[in-house]
This record gives sequence, structure tokens and C-alpha cells, in this order.
Amino acid sequence: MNSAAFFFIAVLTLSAAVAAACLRQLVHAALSFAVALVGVAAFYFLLGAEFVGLVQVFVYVGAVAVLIVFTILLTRHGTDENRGFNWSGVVIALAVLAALLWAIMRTPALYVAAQPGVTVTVRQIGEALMSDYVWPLQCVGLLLTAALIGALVLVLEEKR
Amino acid sequence: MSYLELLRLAAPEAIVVLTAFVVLTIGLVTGRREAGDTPAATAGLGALVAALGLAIAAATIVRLPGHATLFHGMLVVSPLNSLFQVIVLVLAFFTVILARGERLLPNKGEYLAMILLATVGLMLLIGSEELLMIFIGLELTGLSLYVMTAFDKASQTSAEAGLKYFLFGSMASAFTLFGLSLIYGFTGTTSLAAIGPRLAEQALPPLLFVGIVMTLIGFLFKIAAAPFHLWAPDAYQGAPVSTAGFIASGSKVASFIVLGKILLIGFGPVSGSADWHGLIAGWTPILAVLSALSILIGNLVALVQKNVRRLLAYSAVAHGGYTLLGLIAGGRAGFSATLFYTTIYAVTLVGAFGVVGFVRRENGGDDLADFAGLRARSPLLAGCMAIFLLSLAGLPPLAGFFGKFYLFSTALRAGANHGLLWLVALALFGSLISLYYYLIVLKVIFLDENAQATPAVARYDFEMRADYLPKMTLLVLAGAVLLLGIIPGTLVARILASFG
Amino acid sequence: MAFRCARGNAIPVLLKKSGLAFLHRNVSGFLDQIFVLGKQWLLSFLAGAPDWVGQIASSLLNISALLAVFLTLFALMSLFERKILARIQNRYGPNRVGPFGLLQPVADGIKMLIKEDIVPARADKVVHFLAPILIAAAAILALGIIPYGRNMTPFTIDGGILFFFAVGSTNEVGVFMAGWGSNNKFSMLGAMRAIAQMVSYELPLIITVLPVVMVTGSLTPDAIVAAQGGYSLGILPHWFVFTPWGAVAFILFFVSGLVESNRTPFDVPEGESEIVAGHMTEYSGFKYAIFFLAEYFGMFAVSGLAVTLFLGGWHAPFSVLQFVPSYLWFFLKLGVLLFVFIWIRGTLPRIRVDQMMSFAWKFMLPMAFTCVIAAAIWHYQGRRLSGSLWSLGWIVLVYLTLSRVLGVGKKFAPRTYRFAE
Repeated sequence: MNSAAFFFIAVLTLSAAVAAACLRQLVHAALSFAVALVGVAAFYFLLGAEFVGLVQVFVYVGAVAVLIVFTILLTRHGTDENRGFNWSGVVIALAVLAALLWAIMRTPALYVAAQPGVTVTVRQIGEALMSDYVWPLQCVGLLLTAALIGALVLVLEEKR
Repeated sequence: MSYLELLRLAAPEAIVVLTAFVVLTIGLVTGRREAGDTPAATAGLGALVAALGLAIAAATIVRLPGHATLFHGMLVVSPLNSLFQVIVLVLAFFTVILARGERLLPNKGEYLAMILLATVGLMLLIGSEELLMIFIGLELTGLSLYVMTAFDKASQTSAEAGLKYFLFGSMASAFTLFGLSLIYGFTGTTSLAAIGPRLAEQALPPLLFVGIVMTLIGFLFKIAAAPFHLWAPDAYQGAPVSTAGFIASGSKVASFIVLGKILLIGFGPVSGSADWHGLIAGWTPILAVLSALSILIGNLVALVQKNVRRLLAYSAVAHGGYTLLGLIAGGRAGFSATLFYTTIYAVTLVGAFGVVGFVRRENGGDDLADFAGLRARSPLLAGCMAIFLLSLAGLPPLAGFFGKFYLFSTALRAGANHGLLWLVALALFGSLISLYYYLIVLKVIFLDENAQATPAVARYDFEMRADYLPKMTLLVLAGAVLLLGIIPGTLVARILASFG
Repeated sequence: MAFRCARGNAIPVLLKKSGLAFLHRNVSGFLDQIFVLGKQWLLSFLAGAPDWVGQIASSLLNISALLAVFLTLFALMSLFERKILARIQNRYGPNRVGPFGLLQPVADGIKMLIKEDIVPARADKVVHFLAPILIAAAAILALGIIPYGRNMTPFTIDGGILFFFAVGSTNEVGVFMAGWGSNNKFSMLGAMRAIAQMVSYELPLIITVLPVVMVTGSLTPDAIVAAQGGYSLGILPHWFVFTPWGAVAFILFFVSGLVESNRTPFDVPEGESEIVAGHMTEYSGFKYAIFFLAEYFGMFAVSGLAVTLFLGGWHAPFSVLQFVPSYLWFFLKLGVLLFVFIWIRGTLPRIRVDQMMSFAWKFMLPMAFTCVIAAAIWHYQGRRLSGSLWSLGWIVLVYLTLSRVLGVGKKFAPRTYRFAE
């Protein structure tokens, strides 16, 4: 049952990701991207990482995807002109894919035995974030602050 | 661990962050009353506070305990880290002072705050021996620098440079993150000290090797090594001058020290060898190829540049290539040679960009033609520039000479039977080329006459109008370059001692 | 109603004795758990089946009960809203269909169903079609984590509150799809307004939940309700709304909830006098009904969460009233909140977009953070009266400072019209 679900989610996620890369209409691409992100969240749920899955939906679908479509709306005015097919990009992507595939094929033991019976509760995650990982947590907060200030400064209207 | 302990060890970072917020508040409260530029008084106060904060942070670093490690290496206090955090703070200090002269920028408070936040990012990078924190530091630095690059909204080149820097940078970060996740997946740890032994105990699986290469991409991007250097010319040319200086100096120093730590502590067991006659797979051959590529591309393309900042950018690519030599050589000696060289390079470039900033403000451009007759207009600037460029070219008795000497000799001694001779020869050849284009710049400065004759009044004007403080800073930097060339032993000894 | 047997109460013990053996227990306990027991009884027919059949059947039961209850509530609400609004405006309201107009929702439903479903020729068909589905699904899912009574949470997950907001945040994508897919200026404008205000008010909405989560130490709605059980002196319930931080957070939460469900005075996205019906302009017939339904479901969900977080969930207000079944208390509180929704709609005019935005960022957000700190003060003062006073002082201090900084007392300048004379 789990492997069937895995297969289904994998196909969904991958096809959504491919669609996000290929679709002409930018908004369609953004929406497929959101579907791909939901697919990733579904993987987390499948793995029992409830919290991460929820955060994935919350942050990526609720915030990132919405911001992406919003930005597209605010910035693009013209219709999409045909920009031609980017052969060099395809070649590079295929080369990277081939290298990765080769590496994956050649790598013997990729599966790690999961520790049985360990369900991490939100409480444990919170405690870890506030003890062992408090320093990265603070620094990520700082990172977001810097991004916020930067974004604001860059889009600020000049009163000239 | 208690929060107080964390606060005590992270006090320097905390102070810089607080300073950034104070500077922001100053800009918010006093700035933007009138349209256009930030009021001069505000800019002055902001810069003063920023410089003060940086100085206090540096003083706090000195008072930290000698050795301390928190959270499995996420926050490491060691003599080496402290030394380089101080160096980064000093570079930021100079950048803040030199940024004072940049009158074009509105929102001065935010600009200074971004410099400070980028500095915090660099300090985080330097002060951690753990992949997660390294990535956060990389991102904090990157984001701040992207914003700073695009800060000059009146200029289209600045926007273009910011966009390019951002796109390349985020791509490189994505690769790095992917690589880090692979490494974590294979070794089960993010602590550099723990990764080393794990790598040593098993044969290297190809996927792990892919992970290592991907991890390196982010750092090679930061130091603008050859195939990842495409952003550098635009960023160096388009960004506000002080930003370009900071990218070339602070960002580079921190990237090299982290790259060195990752390679030598984390990936040490899989280094391989780049010896001419004994090639062994690992990260060393890759770095050697990239280093050779950087030296060739950087120097050759720099030959045809007509813009001084672009020229400095391509020469930065080449210098990145030289600096990698130390890491390829490996070991404590190689690492210290790299660190010494990159420090000297950073100091020199901050100064060079300071001079470019002055010329740009006066002539409105930084093409070679704008430097014509600089000697007549300002002997001081011309002299400083000469010292900086000759040091970059590696002429004795300047610091650049000793840096190169140390670097190349370490590389020669490293491999068995002078295995790295081919790379060193290439680097020497590259230095020779570089001498040519640096001399061209100097020729324009000292021998060419300015197209429009400069009357004495204009010269007086130029000398007087510019701030005294940035000029003094340039003098100090030039003095440092000279001094480090004459007595390099102190800094080398400091670096070597800090390994202990 | 939806139900689930949660952790070790008396209920499992109760259930071991099959059939009607529990009748001898006191009647109020039986009434309280009647739906839970009913579900168990239904599931007992599947005793022999494999595990997953039972799980699916249980989920289906929960879902159908949830839908049945809230569809009824939706019908009632749509009627009572019109009735109450009419009352406020000195009218009669719907009174033609059935006694007192009670069958009006049925008539409305039939009308919606048999209307032609029009899709604009230039619309993006797929996106246009998917939008109402996504919105409705999100709204219904959000209802799932609310404890409607003792042991009556449709599904219990560890991070229930987080689930609520995660699901709620997908709503924005749906609104965007509706607005963009319709290929209509009004739809697009409405969607952009809606997303802008939802994104802005999501912050205070979530941050006002933080103090509750901090104080209870849990993201599970059941635990939050449980933490509000008990009474001081037998009459004062320990609801969070009766603490200073809780009261302020509740008000902020409620206002943000008004915005999130696009209700007056924050119905800018679908201000009919400006942009027809916002992102719903190009929808007709059943799809329009679904939007309508989703909006009301969203309102139920936000009110339900407010009840759970601040108003003690299904706990009775006085200890003597505990014999009344828990779900009745929940729905009573929900009803009061819904009435306030309608009341506000009948009272306040619509505010401008820019006013709304600056209100969110300059007032709501700082106040929300103030609540977090106030809750911390309250907690570290031992959760006693002194703590309450200290946190109240802190809130008042911030409030006064904010109003001074924002210049609330400033004289309003005469309004200037830039585009009209």
C-alpha cells in the first residue's frame, strides 16, 4: 500500500515538475510548481514526518507559490513571445542528469535502515529547535530579516 | 549549554547585528525628509555608528576565550576563527568608511545595514565548522551582497549586475545545498570534524563524490573561479564601488577560509592528488584544473579590458586561481599560504576600489580613459593606486610579492617530486601577463595627459572636495600593503600560530 | 456530528460492555457521548474486517457527519444572516418561502442548481474549473481538526493548529486561480486584493495563536481545549479569553478572521459597488454556490478555532452547567460568534484598501507580538493575578505608544480627490 502510494505521488510530483519547466504560460507553470511542492509534502507525510509536511504546505504552497503568482501578475504585462528553444540548456541538463544517474547506479548501498518506532512529535522538534539548533534558528531569522530589508529597499519607490 | 553561554560566545555577531538595527533606525528616524539623497548628517552619523559597532565587535572577539565549541561545531571559537573574524571586521570597517563618500546612494542607512548584515554572514561562515551553519552563513552573505549590488537604482548596470549575481548565486547555492544533503545522507552528520573519519572508513561511492563536487560549486562561485566567474565582471563593474570592494575582499576571505576548512577537515581523506605524474582521483585534481582555467581565462581576458573595474574583476578570477594553489598543496602550510595570500589580496583590493570610487565620483566613470592624468590631479591617489596595482602584480617589496612567493613555494614543496610544478609554472606565466595589464593602467595614470587640461583650480578642487577620512583610509591601506611586504613575518606567524 | 474516541477516558471502558449496558450511567454522560457511541456502534458491524476497512469507514463516517452538520449550518446561516440584517435595517427579510421564510435556503439551493453554468469563452477552462474545487476542499479540510465536543475531533493529528493554517493558506492559491482563470479585469482585481489582504492578515492571525500554543505547550486542539478546563471558585472558567493577553489576542484573532473570510468591513475583494463580485464575478450556478459555501465554511472554521483557542472549546461556562452536552456548548459559542459576524456586517461600512493594509502592518502585527510577550509575562509570574496585572500593563503600554506613534488622535485632513472633482 505504501509503495503504491509512493509510486503515485512520485509520478504526480515528477510530472508536475516537468510541467512547471515546460509549460508556455507562466502562470500554469507556477501552478504546476505548486502541485509539485504539494507532492513533496505528500512524501513527507508518507514518511511519517507530519510536521515537516505541514510546514512544507504552509510555507511553499501558502507563501512561496502565492508570492510567485503574485509577482508574475505584478510584473508581466506583455504576452509571452516565443523565446526559442534553449538547446544548450537542454544539453547541460541532460549531461547533469546523466552524471547523476551514473553516480546513482554505481553507488552500492543507498538505503539506510530506518530506526523503527521513532515518531517525532512536534514537541520534540520544538525542543530541539530551542536547544541544539537554537543558533541556526536565530541565524535563519537574521537571514530572513536581511532578505526582507533588502527586498523592501529594492522595490522602494524613489521620491525624485 | 545555556543561552547565556551562547550569548557570550556569539557576542561579536550579536553586536554587529544590533549595530545594523541601530543604523537602520537612524536612517528611519532622520532620513528621507527631503527627496533624493540621504541627508549628509544622517549618513555621517550612520557610518560613525556602524564603524563604532564593528570596532566594538572586534574588541569583543579579542576578549573571547581561546577555544570553545558549541552545538557540535556550529559555533566554534578558535584562534584561527577569531583572527579571521577580526580581519573581516576590519575589511568591513574600511568598506563602511569608503562607502561614506558614495553620495549617489539614497537610503544610506539601509546600505550600511546591509554591509553589516553581510559582515555577520561572513563571521558566521568563518566561525562554524558545521555544514548547516556554513550554508546559512553563505546565504546571509549572498543575499546581503545581491541587494547591495543592485542598490544603485539610478543605474541600469547596477540592476543588471544585481540580477546576474543573484541568478548565478542562487543556482550555485542550490547546487551546494544538494551536495550538502547528499553528504549528510551518506555520512549521517553535518559536523565537519565527524565527516572526515566517516569518509576515511569507506571507499568513496560515486554519488558521494558528486555531492562533494556540488558542495564545492557554491564556494567556487563565491571566489569566482573560472567556469563560475561569469557574474564577477558585471558585479564588479555595476555594483556601487564600495560593494564591489567588499565582494572582492571580505566575501573572498571568508569563502577561502571556509573552503579550506571543508576541504582539509571535512573532505581531507578523499583529497586525491593533482601531481603531474601521479594523478589520484579526488577533489584536488578538480581544483587544479579549475585553478589553471581561472589563471588562464582571468589573465587573458583582463588584457583586453578597457574598464578598470572589469579589469580588476578578471584579475580577481586569476587571483582566485592562484589562491587555490595553497589548498591544492594541502596541509597546514598550504592552508596558511592561501589565507595569507587572500588576506593581502583583500586589503589591496579594498584600497584599489577606494581609488576607483574617488575617480568615479570625480569623472563619472571608471573606464581607463577616466584615469588619464590622475597623477596631475591627485598625486596621493595615483601613488596609492600604484602601490595597490604593483602589489597585485607581485612586485617586491610589496605584500603581493611575498604572498605569491609563499604560495608558490609551498605548492612546489607540496607534492612528491615537485608534482605541482606544472601548475606553479602556469601561475608564474599568468603573473607575467598580469604585470602587463597592471602596467597599462599605471601608464595611463602617470604618463597620459588628461584630455581636458586640468587647471590648478580644478586640481585643488579635486583634492579638497573629497573627504579626508576616506583618503586617510587609503593611505593606511597602502601603508599596510607596503608594510606587509617588508615584514610579512608577523602575519604569517599569527596565522601559523593560530592553527596550533 | 463527527466523533472519534480519543485517549483514555472512561469511554473505552464503557464500550467494552456491549449493547446498551451503558444506559445505567447517568443520562448526561450518555447524551454527551451519544454521537461517539453511535459511531462505535456503526463501526462494530465491521468488527471482522481488516484494519484499513475500519479506518476508511471511520473516516467516511466522520466526513459525512461533518458535511451534514455544516451544510445544515450553512443553510441556516444564510437564512439567519438575511433575517438579522433585515432586522438591523428595519426590514422583514425573507418571509415568503415556508413558515417565517424557513425554506428560503432550499429555494436558493434549487435556484443555484438549475441555473446555467457559464464559462467565459476566453477563460482558462481548466484553472477556472479547478478553482472552486480547491477552495471548497481547503475550507472543508480546515473544519476537520476542531474538537466539537468531548472526544469529538474528526481527526486528531499532532500539529492540528499548523494543519489548520497550512490548509487555510492553500485558499489563496484557489482565489488566485479563480481570479486569473476567469480572464476578467474585475476578477483579477478582486483576486489580487483578496490575496494581498489574506497574506497581510495571516500574520496576525497566526501570531495571535502563538501565545495560546506557548501557554499550553501543544499544537493539538484537544490539548488546548483540555488546558482550558476547570473553574476557579466553581464559577470562573479558565478560558484564555479571561486573561489579559487572551482577551487581546482573541480580539485580534477575530478581526483577522473577519478579513480572512472576506467579511464586512473587510470585504474589499468582493466589494460589489466597485468590482462586481471580485474573483467570483465570472462564476455562475453551482460553482458560484460552491464559492459561497466555501466562504461560509471558512467563517465557521475560523470561528470554531477561535472558540477552541480562546473560548474554552466545548467546556461549559459554569461548573454547574456541565451536565449540558459538550457539543451544545461548542455550537452555542459558535453561534454567538457567527451572530457577531452578522452584527458587524450590519453595522460597519467597508474600509479602504490602503487603510486596511496599514492597519494590518502597523497595528495588528505589533499588537499580536505584544500578546506573545504578555503571555510570557503572565506565565513567568506564576499565572496569577499579579501576572495578569503585569501583562495587562504591558499591553496597555504598547497600545498607548502605538496609538501615539501612529497618530490616531491626529486631525484628519480634508479629503482630496485626485481623479474626480
